[in-house]
Amino acid sequence: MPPVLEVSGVSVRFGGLQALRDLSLEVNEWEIVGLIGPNGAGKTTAFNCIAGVQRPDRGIVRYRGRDVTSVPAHKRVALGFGRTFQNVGMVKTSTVLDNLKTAQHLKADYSAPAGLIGTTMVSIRERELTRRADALLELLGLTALRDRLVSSLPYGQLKLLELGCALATDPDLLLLDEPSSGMGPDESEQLADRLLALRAEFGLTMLVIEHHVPLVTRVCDHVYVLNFGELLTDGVPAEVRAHPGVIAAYLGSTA
Amino acid sequence: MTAGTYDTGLRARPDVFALLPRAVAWLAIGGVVALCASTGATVAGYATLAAIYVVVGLSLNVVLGYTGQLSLGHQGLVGAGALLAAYTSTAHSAPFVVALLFGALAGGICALVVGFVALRISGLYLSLVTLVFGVTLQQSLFEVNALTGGGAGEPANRPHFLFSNSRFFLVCTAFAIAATYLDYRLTKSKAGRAMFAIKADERVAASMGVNVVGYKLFAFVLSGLLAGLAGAALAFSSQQFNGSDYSFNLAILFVLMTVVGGVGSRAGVIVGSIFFALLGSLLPTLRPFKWFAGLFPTQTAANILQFGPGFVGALLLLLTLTFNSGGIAQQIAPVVRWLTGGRFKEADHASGS
Amino acid sequence: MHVFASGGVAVPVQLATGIVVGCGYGIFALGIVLVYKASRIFNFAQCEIGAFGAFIALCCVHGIGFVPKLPFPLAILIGLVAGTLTGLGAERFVIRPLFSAPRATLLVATAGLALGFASLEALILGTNFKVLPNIGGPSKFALFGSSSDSNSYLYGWTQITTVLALVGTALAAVAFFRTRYGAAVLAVSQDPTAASVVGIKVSRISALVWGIAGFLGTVAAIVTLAGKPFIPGGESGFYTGTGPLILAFTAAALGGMTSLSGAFVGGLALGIIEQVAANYMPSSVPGGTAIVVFALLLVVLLAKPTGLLGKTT
Repeated sequence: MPPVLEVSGVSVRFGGLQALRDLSLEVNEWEIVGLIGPNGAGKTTAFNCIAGVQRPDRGIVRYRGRDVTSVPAHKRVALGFGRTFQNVGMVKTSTVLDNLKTAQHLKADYSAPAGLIGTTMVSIRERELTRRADALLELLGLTALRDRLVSSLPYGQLKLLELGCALATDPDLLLLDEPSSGMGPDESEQLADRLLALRAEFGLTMLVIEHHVPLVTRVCDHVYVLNFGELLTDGVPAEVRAHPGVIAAYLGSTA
Repeated sequence: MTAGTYDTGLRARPDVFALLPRAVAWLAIGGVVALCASTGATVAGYATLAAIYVVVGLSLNVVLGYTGQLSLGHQGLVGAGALLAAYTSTAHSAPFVVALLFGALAGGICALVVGFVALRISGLYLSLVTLVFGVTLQQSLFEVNALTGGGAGEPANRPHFLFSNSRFFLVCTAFAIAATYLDYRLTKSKAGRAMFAIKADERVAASMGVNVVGYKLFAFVLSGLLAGLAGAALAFSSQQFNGSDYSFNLAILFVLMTVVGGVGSRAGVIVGSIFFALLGSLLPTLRPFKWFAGLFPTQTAANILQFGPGFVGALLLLLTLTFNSGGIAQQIAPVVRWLTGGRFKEADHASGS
Repeated sequence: MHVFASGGVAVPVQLATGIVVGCGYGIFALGIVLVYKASRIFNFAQCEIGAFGAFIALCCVHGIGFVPKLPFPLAILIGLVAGTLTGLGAERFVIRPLFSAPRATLLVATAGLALGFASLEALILGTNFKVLPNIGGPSKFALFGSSSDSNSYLYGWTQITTVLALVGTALAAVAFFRTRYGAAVLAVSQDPTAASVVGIKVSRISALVWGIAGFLGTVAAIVTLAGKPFIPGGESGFYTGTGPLILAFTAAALGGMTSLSGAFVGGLALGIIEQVAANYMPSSVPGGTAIVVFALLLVVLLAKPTGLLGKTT
């Protein structure tokens, strides 16, 4: 069986900057794979290529054996890609409930003009979307925030809600960009539990960009390390942590 | 933090004492409409313009308020609708309804052109392109003699049963109500949510499964259809089409009424559109304004009465932007909430819609 | 809107006319680019602020309102000062309070400013249009065509002084921002954090830029309007179709919105294109200039967003 996600030889260049050079990685069914590296290493660019908002100059992205390199982002969502962003990808001017309904865009199952006319079918489907959104809120324990405006919420809660939005698209492969940012040690501990539980319950496969080492060590089955747009090394978390190049890369970037 | 719970408790129990004042208020609004229709041709004429501008305001709000695309060429879409409605009804003696449909279609097609440009050019540059697009339409298409009947303008005669201004006003009110309903449905269905997401961040929208290209075009076409319909109504209201009426001046007025009303807010845009539709004709008749003009020599006083509304409009826009960015919508939010069945005072955390 | 001939205008006259009006567009475009470089704002009031300065000069020449009748050179001087102050005032009372607002909001604000100035002029002037005198005086000589031919635009000292003045102003502006101080001003104003680190006040630079833009706008407006009736919101504004605003913005876009010299050259080119389009488009196609400008703008923005004349960084 082919891996859920297979990236091979992907390169991206922005003007004079080689953001990614010949990146290859694999995420297998039921795995949680980490993508780490210092700031500016090209992690988010890699995510953009995988999610489809950035076309790589070279290389191929495969999803369950199918070449999706030229498939636009929203169609990848239909295939089963779910994604979160580094700086909270939510509609800040809407309520939490509306965001969760927006994320179910592809599940709405009625045409846009029908929505304008407001047929009975539309109201039935809308109620269904609300019910699913409520179920997700309950799952994340955030029911109290249902009618709040997203812009009025603290960062830590937003990261969790964003995870909820990604789940609302009914994904098969979750791409999480720094899910623990803005969270304290306790909260990120809880997040680790939650990610493992999500995998156990829904059979999700995940690729996670993360800086928080304890979280990576706890949840990841495999870790890829990027530096200056290139793959530095990969392996199980313990191996990677001991790798001298990784330590140098992180120290080098902060110096 | 748990404030969300008691809200729902109260709304679950509708009683006569809560409904009665609201019903009275809605009846009063209906009464104003009836009054406009029955007071005479002049009042009905003003009110017709207000009703048509409501459609234009809502149309602009779809692209500007919901999708975040600033169009400075909306007068071109409105004008295209007016032109085709006048042309089909006069040159091809199309029935009123068919002419209206053609008008809406013309607006929709022009908007689609802008929409395709918007896929490649965004932000301020798009505003610039829409500006030039509107002006180009006005200077070229709206001046083609074969379409516009030369300098005299293309007539757009109303059918017999709509000959009175009062009846035509009621038809335009129906358009305004229909546009308001469409707008309401838009914000409550997936298309509206998709547009909000596009306005917030196109990448985020795509990651939620929204076809950004498709919904941008959808927004432009929907906006164009409404603008075209409004244009057709405008042509039939003045019973003629004149290309020079659709100058950039008008585009700025449309942006004014949407921004001062409150970008993205249905109620605000409606109030703002009515306000600016009436400003030009009503402001010079207001006593304080006349008194102020009377302080100046005769010639200047006449100038003030004629050009004052434009200046007041610009001033209101700048004051809105600098001191009251939510527009009129911000002030009328409690009233609107109450009229639609909510509570007058809102718990401090929740949203307004 | 201009004295377009319905064909039959000699090519040198077309070129000469194009150069004269094009210099005006170029100067307007300089002001637009300057403001854009400094704060990423599309200033739709650029031409109208300039027109307001020209309007003040007009008031001084004719003694309109409370203003006494003044000699022409003094009136021009007062107009230039007024235009600069208008730019400064716009920055202080409209732009600065909105500095952190979305750029689209600022665009709407500048459009509102333009509407406000045009309405204010109309309030004072009404429909009684006064003429701003020619700068070079009445002396005429025929450089191209005959001096009795109203189509030969370039037949007086007016146009020659105009071009010299505008080119001089443009060179001075470009030169100033080529100096280390000017370049630093622009470079730093784009990065407020860096500016504060170096100890430069962003608000002061913003004011400086708007003041210069107001001055440039007034220069362009005065020479564009010279010898013609002043119509509020008209010739120098943007209400009348492809007025200078649209042409100046297209010129600025030709320079990628960031190149000062590109903007000026773009303005010149557009002045000439406008003349040629007006002469060679068949008269059955109305709005020939508008169509050409629209097509040009689309091509530039779609094919090369950095501008045909812009620098590739």
